[in-house]
Amino acid sequence: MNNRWGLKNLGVGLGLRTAHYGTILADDPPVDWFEIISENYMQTEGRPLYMLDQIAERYPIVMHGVSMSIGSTDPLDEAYLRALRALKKRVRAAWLSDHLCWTGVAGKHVHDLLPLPYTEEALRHVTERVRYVQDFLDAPILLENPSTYIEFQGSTMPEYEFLSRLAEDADCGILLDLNNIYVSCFNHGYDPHAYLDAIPMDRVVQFHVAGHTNCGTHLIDTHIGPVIDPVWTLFREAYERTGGRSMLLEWDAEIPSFEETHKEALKAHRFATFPKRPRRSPNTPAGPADTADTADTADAADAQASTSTPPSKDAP
Amino acid sequence: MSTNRLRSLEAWFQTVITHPIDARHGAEEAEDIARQLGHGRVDEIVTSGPAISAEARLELYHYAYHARLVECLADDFAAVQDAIGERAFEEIARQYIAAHPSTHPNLNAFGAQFPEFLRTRANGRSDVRFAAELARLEWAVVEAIHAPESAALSAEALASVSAEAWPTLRLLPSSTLQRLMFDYPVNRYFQAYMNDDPIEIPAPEWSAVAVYRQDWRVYRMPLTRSMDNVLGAILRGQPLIEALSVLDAEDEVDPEDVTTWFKEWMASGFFSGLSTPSETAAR
Repeated sequence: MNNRWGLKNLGVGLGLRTAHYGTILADDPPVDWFEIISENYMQTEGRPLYMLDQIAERYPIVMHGVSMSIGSTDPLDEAYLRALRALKKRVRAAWLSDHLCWTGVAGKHVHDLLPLPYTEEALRHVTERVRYVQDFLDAPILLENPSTYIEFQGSTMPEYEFLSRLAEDADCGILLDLNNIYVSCFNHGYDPHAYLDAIPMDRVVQFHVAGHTNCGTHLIDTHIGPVIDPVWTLFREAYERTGGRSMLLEWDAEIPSFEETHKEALKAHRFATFPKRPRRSPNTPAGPADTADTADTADAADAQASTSTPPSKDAP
Repeated sequence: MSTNRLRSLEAWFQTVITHPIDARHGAEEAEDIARQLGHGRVDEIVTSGPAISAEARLELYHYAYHARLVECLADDFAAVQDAIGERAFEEIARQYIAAHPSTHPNLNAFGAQFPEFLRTRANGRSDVRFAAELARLEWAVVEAIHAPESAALSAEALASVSAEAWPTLRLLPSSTLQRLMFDYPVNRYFQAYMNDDPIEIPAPEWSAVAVYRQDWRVYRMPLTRSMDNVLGAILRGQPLIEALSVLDAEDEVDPEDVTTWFKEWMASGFFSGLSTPSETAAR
């Protein structure tokens, strides 16, 4: 099964983190692709972009945002969207994603991925905004299922139904975070496998896995430490159901050496078979042609033709 | 399409989790919004989990909100945190978060007003007055990291200025250059902190430093009073000859020293261009 947009299985990726810039640029390690936190490279014209430009010359880049605030009832921030579009073009990102959440209201930014009530009202609201953003960016976006620690009494449907209906109604993609499914289902007492059953796999373009912190009564999505086996099991199930999608390890707290982080990501090969990727010479630019299955569907070609591309900040 | 209920729910949730004390106090502050939603108690709005209460679940978000922003400030102001201690830093950081909530999707500029906030909170405490000065230096480093790149003025471009143009010649500063003056020896302290040397909050003493970026790395150059006077005049846009004339009035400086300063400033990329009344910027 392919995804609706024919976006390629890039293989096993890593979240690009400041601490690893030096190793990546010096050693040119064999990583299939990198995911950036979009906002780390916005509102800056200095060193972060300088480093990113060099890495984007060598590796496929995918953008992952945390501040689109697609579920907020504040107006969408057009300056933010313009900056996002410019960055996408600059690094020739294969696609971009954000979260099914809101991050602030009344002009404030909480810088957290806050949960929505899963209601018809919220579904209509978010659908309308996703359509607007996709038109603005002239590209599909992926929305990631968040890790949540509360549910609203007023919700009238489970998260997986909300996400699935949103993806269909707004015609957007899904970034399926297996760790978030595990964390949220633990916190709310649901079956993570039932969650997987409800997701339209043809809309899934990418997977996330990560470590989390077990507080006994609840789990916190800290992106710390190795991925636990039940999350890898969910990944294997989801990977098989989709026929294979790009997979990425997130590690954001107590970040170990690049080698250790990469080694953890490469465990994915124990659970899934990824397409062999030709090793790119450092001098060969990465770009859309290298990150799209243009032969899959007309929609895919159209989407790609229009696609030109723990708080982190550059350390002083 | 009406989103009134969703908007009220978001306003309620945000009020609860951003309250300076805890989520319980936040819920009290948000009681009016809760009533608009037709509810009285927290657990009528959010559910309890299998093992923790609705209030405890809200507190997770409350804790995360403050911890994230305190951590963001600690990243940018690590020397300040070290100087005043983690507890005092967290206390004042939380006051700052309450007074200056983030209004931008990006956290890069969140700490922009922190140095001034610290200064206004000194209340005669010399350690906080010093910390406010140290914060200015740390913020200048952050700004230098994110400043746009500008090519350095070449010695050849400067040498090519005609003799007639020299009286009106102005040097244009690099976009990454900042000059800071302090009432404490802030740069000396900061360097000791970076070296992991034993340090104590110093007594007041005039000092100045230039913060700049070269080859994508941020540097600090201590300035003497004479250097600071000249550089300050240049950065205020005075013609170079006028900028140098401040030395005649106030300093006894060997002309060779001035030549050495300029060589060092040019080599460090302090200037990105030059202008005369009849010429636009050139390199």
